[in-house]
Amino acid sequence: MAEIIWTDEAERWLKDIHDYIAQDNPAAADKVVSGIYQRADNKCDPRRGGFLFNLFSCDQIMASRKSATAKKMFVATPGVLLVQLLWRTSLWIHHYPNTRTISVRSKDMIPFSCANASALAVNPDLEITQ
Amino acid sequence: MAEIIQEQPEDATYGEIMRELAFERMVERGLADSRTGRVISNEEMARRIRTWQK
Repeated sequence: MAEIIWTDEAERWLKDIHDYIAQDNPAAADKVVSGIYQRADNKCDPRRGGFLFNLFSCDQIMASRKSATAKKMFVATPGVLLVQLLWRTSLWIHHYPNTRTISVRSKDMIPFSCANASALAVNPDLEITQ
Repeated sequence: MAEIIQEQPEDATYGEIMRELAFERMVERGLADSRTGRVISNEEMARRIRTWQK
């Protein structure tokens, strides 16, 4: 079972998302933030295909893998998968200590507007397939 | 920062470069948080979200 750890950076961005939306619609803000949290939580559920990783629009993944950032991240911290939402970005870190391969599917859309996301495996043993 | 900019394709737009730089910054911040223990559990995150939703 994977474990989700939220960084200060992730919490800060998630709070910003909430506060920004809440200016106009507090109920929508609650729903969006809960949705992001739930999506992260679901990713650790082995009933969803082990560690099969359901993501959103994955256009950024391949582009980012070619970047200097991606190269650095791939050798940074073994066993860590970073997930990033690129709309009012949120960042959280998953630890997958025993995972060898992560599959990313681009057709699983999240039910709210921050649909642009990317994932990067911070482990040379991990492979992202699409 | 210069390295990131130089690694962008020749036809990269200003917006694409800015996104890449922002991405780098956020990743570095997240990793720094992780390395230095500035993290909370998933359960604690849920508790904090509930306090925002009052």
